[in-house]
Amino acid sequence: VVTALTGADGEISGYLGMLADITERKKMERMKDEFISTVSHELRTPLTSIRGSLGLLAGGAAGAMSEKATSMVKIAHQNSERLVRIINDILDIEKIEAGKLELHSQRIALSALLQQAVEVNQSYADKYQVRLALEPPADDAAVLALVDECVD
Amino acid sequence: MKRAQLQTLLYVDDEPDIRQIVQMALGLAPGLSIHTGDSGENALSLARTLRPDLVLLDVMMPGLDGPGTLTRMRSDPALAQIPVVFMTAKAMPQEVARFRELGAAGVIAKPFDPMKLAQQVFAIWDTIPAGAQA
Repeated sequence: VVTALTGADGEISGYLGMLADITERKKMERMKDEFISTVSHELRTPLTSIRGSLGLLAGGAAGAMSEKATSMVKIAHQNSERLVRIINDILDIEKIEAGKLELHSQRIALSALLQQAVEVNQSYADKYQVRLALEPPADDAAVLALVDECVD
Repeated sequence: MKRAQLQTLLYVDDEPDIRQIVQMALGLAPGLSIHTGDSGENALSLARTLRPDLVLLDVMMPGLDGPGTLTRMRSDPALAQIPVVFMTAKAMPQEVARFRELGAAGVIAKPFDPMKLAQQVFAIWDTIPAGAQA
C-alpha cells in the first residue's frame, strides 16, 4: 500500500509505503483448500455407494419392498441426498472466497417443499416431543426458493 | 456418417461396491452390455479384448489412475479411438477442464443418481461425433 503524504498546503511532501509478507498466509490458504478437497473426496467415495444403493432401492430397481421398508429407504435416500448437498456446500466455500458462488433458486410446489421440511425435521421434533402438523396449502401454490436452505 | 449405437461399455473402478452399483444402474438400460474392471492396467487389457464402444473410468485408482489410463489408450492404436468418460468424486471445474484437455468425452460426478446414470451416459454418447464413436 502506498499513500501520498501531504502538508497543510496540500502539497505532496512524501510517500508512505507499507509492505506485508503474505507468503505464510498464502501457504495456509493453499493447505486449507487441499484439505477441503481431500476431505470432500474421502466423504464422496463412501457416499457414492450409500446414495447409489439407496437410490436403486428407492427407485424399485431391486424389486418391490414392503410399505414400511419403502418408507424407511425413502427417508435414508432423502438424507443421503442432503448429505451430498452439504458436502457440495463445503466445496462452495472456495467459490465464496473467490466471489464466484451462485445461488440457484428453483420453482417448487409449496406443498412439496413444506412436506419435505416436515419429513426432514420430524426426527428432531420427536426427540423433544414436538408435534409437527402440516396444513396443506392450495394445490397450485408454488414458490421460487433455495430448497435446501429452506428445508434446513 | 451413421451414428453407432452404444452397446458395449467397460466400467473401471477400484471400489467393488461402486462397480456393483454402476453395473446395476446401467443394467436398467435395455440392450447395453456392461463389463467391469478394477484397475487402469486391467482396463487396458479388457479394452483390447472387448473393444467396448465406451469406457467409463474412475479417476483416482491405485497404480495406473484414470488420466494415466486414458493417456496409454490414446497412444495405443488399437484403443486410441475408444471414447472415455471419467467418473470422479473430484469434479471441480478446473479438474473437469483438465480431463477435457486430456481427451475425455465427458465427466460424471460422484455421487451420481443411479436412476439417471444410464441417461447421463447416453447423453454424453450422443455428444460424441459419429466418426469418433468406436
